Amino acid sequence: MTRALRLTTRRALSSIPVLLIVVILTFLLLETAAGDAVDAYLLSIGGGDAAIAETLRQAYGLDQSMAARLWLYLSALARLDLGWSVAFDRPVLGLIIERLPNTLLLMGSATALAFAFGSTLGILAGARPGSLRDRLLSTLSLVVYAIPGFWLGLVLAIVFAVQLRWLPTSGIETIASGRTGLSRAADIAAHLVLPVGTLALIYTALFLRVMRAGMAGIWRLDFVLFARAKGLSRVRIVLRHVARNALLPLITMLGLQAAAMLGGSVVIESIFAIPGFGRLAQEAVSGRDAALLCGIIVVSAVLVILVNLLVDIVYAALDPRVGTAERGA
Amino acid sequence: MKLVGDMLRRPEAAAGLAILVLLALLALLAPVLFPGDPLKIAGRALTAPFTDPAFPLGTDRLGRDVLAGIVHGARTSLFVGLAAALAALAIGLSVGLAAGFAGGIADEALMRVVDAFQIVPSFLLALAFVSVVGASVPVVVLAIALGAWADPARLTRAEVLSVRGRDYVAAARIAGMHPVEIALREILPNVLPPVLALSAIIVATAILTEAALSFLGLGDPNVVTWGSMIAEGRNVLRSSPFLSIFPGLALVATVVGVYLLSEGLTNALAGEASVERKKPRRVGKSPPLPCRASPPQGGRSASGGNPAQPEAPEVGETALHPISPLEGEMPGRAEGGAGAESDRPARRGQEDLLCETQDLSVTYRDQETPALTNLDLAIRAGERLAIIGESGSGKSTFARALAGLLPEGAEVEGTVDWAAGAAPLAGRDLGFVLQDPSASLNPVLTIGEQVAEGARRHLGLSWPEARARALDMLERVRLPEPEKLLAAYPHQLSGGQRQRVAIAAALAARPGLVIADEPTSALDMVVQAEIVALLDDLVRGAGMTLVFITHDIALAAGFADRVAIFKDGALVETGPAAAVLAAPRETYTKMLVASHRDLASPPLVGEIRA
Amino acid sequence: MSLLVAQNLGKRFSSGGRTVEALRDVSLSLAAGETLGLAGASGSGKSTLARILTRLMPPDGGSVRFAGEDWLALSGADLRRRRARMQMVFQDVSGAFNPRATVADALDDPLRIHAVVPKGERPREIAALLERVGVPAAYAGRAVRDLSGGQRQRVAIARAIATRPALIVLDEAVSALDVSVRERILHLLATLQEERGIAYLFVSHDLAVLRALSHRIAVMEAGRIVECGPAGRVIADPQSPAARALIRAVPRLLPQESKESPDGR
Repeated sequence: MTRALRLTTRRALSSIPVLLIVVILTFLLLETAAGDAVDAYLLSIGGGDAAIAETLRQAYGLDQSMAARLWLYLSALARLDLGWSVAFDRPVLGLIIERLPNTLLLMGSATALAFAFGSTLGILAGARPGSLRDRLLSTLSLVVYAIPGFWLGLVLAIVFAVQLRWLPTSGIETIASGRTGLSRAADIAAHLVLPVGTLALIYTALFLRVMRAGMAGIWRLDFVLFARAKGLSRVRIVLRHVARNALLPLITMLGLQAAAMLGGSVVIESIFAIPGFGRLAQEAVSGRDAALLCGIIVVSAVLVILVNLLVDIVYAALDPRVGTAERGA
Repeated sequence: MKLVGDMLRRPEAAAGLAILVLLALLALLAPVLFPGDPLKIAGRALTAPFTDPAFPLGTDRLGRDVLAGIVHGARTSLFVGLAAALAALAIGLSVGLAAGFAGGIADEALMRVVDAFQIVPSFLLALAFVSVVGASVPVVVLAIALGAWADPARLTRAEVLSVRGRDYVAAARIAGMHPVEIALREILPNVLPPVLALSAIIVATAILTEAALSFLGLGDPNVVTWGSMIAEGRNVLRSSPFLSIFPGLALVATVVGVYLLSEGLTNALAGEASVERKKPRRVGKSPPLPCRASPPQGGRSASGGNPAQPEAPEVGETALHPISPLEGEMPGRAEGGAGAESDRPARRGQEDLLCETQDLSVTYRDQETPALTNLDLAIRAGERLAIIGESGSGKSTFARALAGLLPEGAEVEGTVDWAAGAAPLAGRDLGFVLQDPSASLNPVLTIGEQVAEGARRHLGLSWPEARARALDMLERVRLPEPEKLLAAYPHQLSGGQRQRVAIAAALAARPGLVIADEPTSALDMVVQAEIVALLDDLVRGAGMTLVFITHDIALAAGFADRVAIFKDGALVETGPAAAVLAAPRETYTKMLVASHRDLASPPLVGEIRA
Repeated sequence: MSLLVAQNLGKRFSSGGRTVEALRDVSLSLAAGETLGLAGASGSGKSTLARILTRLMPPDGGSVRFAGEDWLALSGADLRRRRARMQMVFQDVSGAFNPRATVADALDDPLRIHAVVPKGERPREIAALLERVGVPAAYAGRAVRDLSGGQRQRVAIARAIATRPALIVLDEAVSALDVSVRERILHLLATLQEERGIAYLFVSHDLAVLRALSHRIAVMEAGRIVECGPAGRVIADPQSPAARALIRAVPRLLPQESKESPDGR
């Protein structure tokens, strides 16, 4: 797979300037917020005099030029120093690393489920574009995809946790239950059913639509007619010729959706009180903690870049044309 | 604009538009319908819905009217959605156009900024922006636009690059048009439609983002929004779930409306694009051909010979397939029962009828004039028949009708009688070669798999056996290094090589009949000559029947036993190739022969002048 | 005196780490009123050459003199003005027109840009151009995409002659047409040349078609011109393997006595 390797290296290198732009963006946000943060901090510790304020401003580097501050910020980031969280009174990086696994678990399981269901249903719909089954699935997926995640989460919580009392409503696990091993895993799983289900439902609808639209386009291509002319079974034509090619835009979509999913974690984690990355962002907002918020943005950008590298590798494995020059006529 | 009309004729777009118009009316009339501040207390707290006619949807914890809130909330939702989408579109279009037209370093730099904005979760960005700057409607609009402009920017740039490469832009340059005029008149109008289709999605995303922001308490606290109503209801979720459910339903209805509209727009655009293509291709399964059985040869009684039997042969009828197999070898069919005719001679007399069409007419769906009208034509076993016609002559329709590969919805009248009683099964009894070899091979499957799959299915082979058969076929079509080719992909081959692969794949299951539909029209002449020679060789060597569809009368003359001239869906003339071409009877054929140009034809210009 | 002289043109394309030499050291000349046929298999570089000569694409090296001027040195408004003298007709009849354009739009552009006739006379000029190429003048209001392939190519020719050029580059201009239509278009081109003394650079992979219009034929292979001479001579007595392959590839209507047939049928 030297082709995939070469491609990945190139993509990884080209994401360095992109990341730099993201960092400058967060720096600008921090600049806007910096004055506030001092005031907010002073307010939170019950006020302070001008001397303390001046010390704090020096600590934030507010007495230096903007370029100098940007350099300071960049060099700190290079040392993996994402700053100090005012709200938690801890280093930002440590906080994020602590919360990240919960979010990755949530996102990972939701994406896996949605991919499995979405592609399968998409194949069912796209196997015969225009059929009753296709129209039913397409309409249903359009409606589901129109539902805002936080509201769907609430409705599911009302039904399954409040009315039916089948599932826990909040948290990632039962607090201080003292469970270990499998029992703890089962407890976590029970807590994850609703949030994962909510996200998975919405993304299943999206993946279904992408798969179905891809297949509808591919049915018109000559190689499908040629596959029919070879007298292949319908199952083979649908799966091996049509769906196999429609998988490519779906894989691309996975990469594109990574950022949106991380953004969506904020509301979902806030509804189900999951101590993850997204909830941390909300806590940063309520704590007026710009440093934490910017740290979260930088880390999420890095995460999205990593997911996209992974997607590129998968794509290159699925599409032999990637990384080679297409012959012109 | 024609596009708008096209769009509104689609039910999904009309439904979407109806929802949105209703919402927009409600939003506009909100101060009239529900005068006063919807955030003010109006009645008793927590009135249940559908109990008090004054508050049809009930009241919240503070006694505020839920229905009034929803109607007033529509104002915020729609305004923020539209304003943010407009702002995002304005930024995105400008950046995309700038990048697409500037090219070079500027393009590179702008696209890295676009990358950065696509990599940062836009909701986090909006969250951070609002929390730092402070919540108000304009800030929320800007925050959402900030996270949404990158998609239209990327799409716009891609469209500009694609349109810039078209011949009509080259033609405008040749005409001496000023670059600014080219940009405004030739490029921009053709870039906009797909970007507009995307803008509907941006409106939906903006509405959802606004709702999520106000749900988290980051909306403008001075206006009522659906998101804040849902958040408010969350406090009494157990006792009064409707407080969260109703505004959520309004939100879903709005977004569904926008999606429906966007889908209508996208479909209308796709429809427009397909009109631009000369021959629209259709999706789906072909209808069965009416098929009437003649008594099969050799005195066997017909087992599946119901008149007008509408389906492809049943498994048991495979023995009836009339076509002599490649190289006289009888394939060991998995279906069994094929042995009965294995002693049939590989080459048959010219008189043996293979099939005959009677009054065959084909009309494609949504077309008024038939593509083929009342066609009577016989095909003899073992002959090489060339179907000659210009565009629109129905020659390809005839080929597809024979192969049972007509698109779904095509209306077929008349009959095709196969000597064996049952229509041949595409792939097994009949090999089909298409015009454009670059399009007829699946780009992501190996050559080996694509040649082997037909053999595997019809010859009852295992995958390793089928691959061995594929290797053999690749050698037979004289491709270099066939072992290596098995694992290669179509894009690694030249056009001529791809057509050889397609021929190998079409013949892999040893069909007795080959239909080649303009197999060389997409290739240049040197390659064309090679491919024709190859087909001719393979067919002669195996005593197959060949139906060769072409627009080139001389190409057909080179090797066909018989020619049939088609024009406007009808047969003009048929007969032995040499006779028809040497002494055509019909005016049209005479014209075709006269129009033909070869190296002996007199030039239209004199020798070089001084 | 030569109308067009190209010397030592070179062009490389690189994509995906591979470099293709599309043109190597290509030189040619063309007299006023003459047709030079440019033959070659696909990928031989003939379309690249056409696009360089029409200034749609810059060469990596070499020089072009057209109508006595250094053609490659022109730029901006100067180039746009001089473009009236060199026009082009494309192969793809559907792609060569803005999908939104009517026939009148397509012809109005060159007339307006180069102020060929006063503004008020443009509709009459458009009608005259259409008539000249054999399209009913009543078609002026129709969308180009509603015309048949042959009619579109006639409109393309009308567009090319609208600016009264000295040279028209015909890039596979008849390859996508039906034979009966093709023959009529070839006749039209021959008559136009006769009437107006236009020179053609006629690019095609089909020698038989080239033969119809060409005074001289140049054969390209792998980015080079491997043979160039009077059309009759090149066809009767080809010197290069590329020319011989192109000649062999032309199908003959009546069976040749020398025709090889493997099993003697």
